[in-house]
Parts: sequence; C-alpha cells; structure tokens
Amino acid sequence: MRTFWLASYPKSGNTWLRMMIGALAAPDDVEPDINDLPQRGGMASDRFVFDFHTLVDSSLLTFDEIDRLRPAVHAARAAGSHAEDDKAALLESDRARFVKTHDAYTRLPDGAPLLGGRQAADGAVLIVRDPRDVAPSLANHNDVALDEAVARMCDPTDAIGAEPQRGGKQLRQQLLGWSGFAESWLAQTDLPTIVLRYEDMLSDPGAELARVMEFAGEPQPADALARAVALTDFAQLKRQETQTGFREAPPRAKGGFFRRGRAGSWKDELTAEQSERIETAHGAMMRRLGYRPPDSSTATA
Amino acid sequence: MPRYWASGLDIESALTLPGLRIAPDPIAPADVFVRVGETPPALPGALECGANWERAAGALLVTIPGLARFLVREPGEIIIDPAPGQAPDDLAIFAAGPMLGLLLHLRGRIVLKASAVAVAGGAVLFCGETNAGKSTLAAALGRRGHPTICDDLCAIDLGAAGGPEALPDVATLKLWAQAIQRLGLEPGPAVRAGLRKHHVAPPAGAGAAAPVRALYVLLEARPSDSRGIARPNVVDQALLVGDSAFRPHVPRALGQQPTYFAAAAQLASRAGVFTLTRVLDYDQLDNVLDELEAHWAGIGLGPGAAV
Repeated sequence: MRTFWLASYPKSGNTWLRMMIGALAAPDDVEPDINDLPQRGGMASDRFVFDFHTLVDSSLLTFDEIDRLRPAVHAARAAGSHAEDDKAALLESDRARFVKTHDAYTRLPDGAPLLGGRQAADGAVLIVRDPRDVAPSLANHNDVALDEAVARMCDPTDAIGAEPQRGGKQLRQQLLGWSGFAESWLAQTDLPTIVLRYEDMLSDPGAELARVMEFAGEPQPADALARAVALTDFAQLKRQETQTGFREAPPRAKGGFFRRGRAGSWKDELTAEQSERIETAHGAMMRRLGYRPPDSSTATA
Repeated sequence: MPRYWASGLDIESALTLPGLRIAPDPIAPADVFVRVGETPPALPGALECGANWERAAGALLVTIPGLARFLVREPGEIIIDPAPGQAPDDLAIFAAGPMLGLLLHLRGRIVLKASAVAVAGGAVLFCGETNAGKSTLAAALGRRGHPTICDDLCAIDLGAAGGPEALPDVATLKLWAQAIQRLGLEPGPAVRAGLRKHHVAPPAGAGAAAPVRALYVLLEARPSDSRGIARPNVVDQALLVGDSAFRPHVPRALGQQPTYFAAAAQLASRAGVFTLTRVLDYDQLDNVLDELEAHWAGIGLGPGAAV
C-alpha cells in the first residue's frame, strides 16, 4: 500500500491539507462534513494503531520501548497485513494513504528510522509555516500564553504526549523544536520529500494540492481540484466548526481549531520581543524556507 | 508456586503475577502455567506474521525488542524469555495482561477490552481501547460501592445459565498517577519499574463472576459530538461488541467470528449494548456516574441496590 507521510510541526496546515485530499473523494452533490471526511491514513502516533499491531499494551511500555517497536508497526501498516478495520482496508486498497505525523524524523540508537524508512512509506510531504504565525496558533491550540508557545518552539527537546503520569490517545512525538523538526525531515535521504508552504497553500491551494497528488502518483483533473479546494475553503471550515464543532479540536482551544487562517497575522499578535526571539532562534531555517530574506540575518521581515 | 484465578482459569506461575487474584484452594492441576524460559526466535510453521509477532497453529510468539519474547501456547502455557539484563519480575505484568488475553483467544474464549463492576448482582462492562478511561471509571464506581470484577480485559462465559457472564480476573486496578491523585486513592506498587502506572486496591473490593447486565462502549466527546448514553440499533450493537474484542484481528484470524456474533446477539438481547459519550475531564466524572446510576435505574438495575 503506497504510503505518504504528511509531516508538519503542529498548526502548520496539516489538517487542512488532509481535508483537501479527503474532499477529492467526497460525493458530488453533498457538502462534505468536516467531521466525516473520508480519512486516508489517520495519524502515525495513534496509540490504538500501535496496540493493535503489536498485540502488546503500550501503556505497559516506556517511551523508548515503544519507539523501538514503532518502525515495525509502520512497516506492517504499510504492508497492509492487518488493516485496523475492514472499512479502512476497502477505502485504502488501491489509493495512496496519507498519514499525518508530528514526529520529527528521528533515528533509534541502532540507526533505524523511527518511522520505518522506505519499508513504511514511499515519500513525505513536509508542510511548513512561518514560525511567527505558528506561535499564536499554537498558543490558542494549547490554551497557553504566547511566551510559553514561543518557548516550546525553541526547545529542541520538546515532545507531545510525553507526560509520564498519564496516558493519552497518542504516543510520544518528538518535535525537536520548530527548526529541529524541519531540519530532521529535510536532512533525511530515506524518502523522497516535497516541501509545502502554508502560505502557498493559502495563495494557490489548487496548485499545491495538485503538486501533492502528482507527487503521490495520483494526478487529478482541474475540476476535481477546484471542487476540493472550494469545499475546504477556510471560511467554509470555520463556518462548519462554529455550527457543529470540529472533532479534532482540543476542548481547551477557546478560539476554535480553525482560527484565522491567514499569513502574516503575527504582526498584530506577537510583541517585538517575541518575534525577535523566534527570528533569532530560527533565523537559519526561516531563511532556508523563505521566511526571511536570504541576504540578511538581522533585518525583520 | 503461586496459584492464581483469572478469567475462569487456574494459573500456576513461577513468578508473582501482580494484580491477579490468588486461587482459592487449588487442587487439580492448573489450566495455565507461566514460566521463565527460552523461546525460539521464530515459530516453525508460522501461519501469519505481524509487526512483532508470529502465529502458528495454537501458538503466538510476541517480541518486544530489548525487553523480552513471549511464547503463548494452547492449551495453557505462557513462557517469558527476558532479553539480556531484563528482570523477569518486571515482565510479569505482560503475562498477567496481554499474554493471558492472547491465550484466551487461542482457547476460543470471548475476551473483550473492558473493565467491569458489580451492580445489583449483575456485571456492568466498560469497553474501550487503552486509555479510554475504563479503569478510572471502575475505580470511581468503586468509590460509590461497586466492587471491581475485571480491569482492562474481561472474559465472557457464554455457557452460564443466567446468560453471558463476566469472569473476574484482577485483584487490583491499574491506574496512572494522575488518575490516582484526582480520585484520591492510594497508589500501590508500580506496574513496572519506571512507569507511573500503579496497582490500586479496588475501593469496594473485588466482585465475583456475574451475568452481564449492561455493556457501555466508552467514547470521548469531541466538540462535534452529542454527549450521554445511547443505544445503537441491533446491527451496530453487534459490531460494537466485535470491535471491543481484545486485539480483534486475532479472533478474526482464528475464525472465531461466529462465536463473537453469538456473544453479541446474547449481550444485545439479554443485557444491552450502549455507547457512553463523555468529556474526558475529572471534574465531570461525578456527573457521568450520576448519569450511569440513573440509567441503571431505568433499565432495572436499581441505584444503590445490593451489589
């Protein structure tokens, strides 16, 4: 089963892209429900999937013991040997799977890639977003102060799901900070990878969706792309979330999951100190990804 | 050697199996033997392979890299093969939990991923995946006087005269430190060295085998979901029971769907299969318990009735 990682630091457009991909398969005459879009792969760190494939109970394992099993889990899942349910098997039988992940591309002590390398995937889409826009979105998502969100983005040891005193639906995902995350995916050579910028998705979503589907070997006709884009227009998603709620939104996210959906809104949300802190910590990667001028290390964008 | 009684099986173990009930007066040879020993790196004649396991006729071999291999063989053998440097006692919880669940599958038993409490002489089951809140709910209901019948895995006896019966397994609940603290309970030993999940004595003690009177599939209420208790249509009830099997693909591979359909039909008609959709929030837990007790009154399981 062809598998592609949709890899991103949180709050960078991963869910939006998954919805666009899902909307490609939505029936013609019905507005797709944001809570019932065809899923094509789920999430790499899903605890249920891990337990299902290993037969073991992940809550009896340490984070490192879980990590040692993860390459085999991802490879088994890609091989399609045991679909988690028959419906998923049917849906995924002849099309690429797009699996969301917030795991940085890390390796185990023996060198094996956590995500299983070529045995588990055919390629990766790295979705990136200006870290200055990520920060306010992350603060809202986690219901924390902006300074705390900025601090997390600058912490190379940061991880999601790493609280030892409680379980959770997700396994530990090592983020490595905003730069560390992008660097880990850009540096790996196991998988062909394309980079998608959130800002480009905003300005021309159809072109970016087309690029992803071509990369996955499933080029789409223009009318299908246009329709998927229209169905997952930000205002549309926001309206549906306001009316019915969105099941992937954490209850703590008071501003909603789909918040502003803009590029550059950091200019009215971050203090000068906060934006400078991000630019100082992540300047090199920001320049590499086009979020800072290439010839300047100090000028503000 | 210690003898235990869990899921209708008499278990003799070379290791202390923390959390399992001590067998009352064992006389006959045990049904299951747990021991430490060498296992083969692969199963001859493997019929099926998974991420870290192989299945051959009547046997499953499960490997956890750097930790242990476990060989589970019918009719009743669990062999723990520790990796170099690993203490066997630290691995006993796997034998008492998931490996016992796999052995029950190999023996053709119905085994659900569920906790169960005693209510008015019957058993009420809470099904859900790891960290769905099964043990927390059982512990909270224990504080309201309901003894714990099972924690995490629940074997069902379809042959009992009074309808499908939940078979008791554990003597303790296994709870994360956060849940223990929020519920105001006393932590016992950690389930494994280095993990902050602990054995906890059930607040209302351990319950005996009892006919299943209600089965709730635990769902987390997301912002888009309506909350509360619902009874799905009979087809969906059957599907929910099948999906609630412990590692449901294992009984499927063993050809046990007919047994699960029979169990689902019996549970739907003689008990009732419901979904319980609630917010995972300790501050809301008492409301959920109130709702459950009101529901029990409505289905003939009186609140506060003798347990």
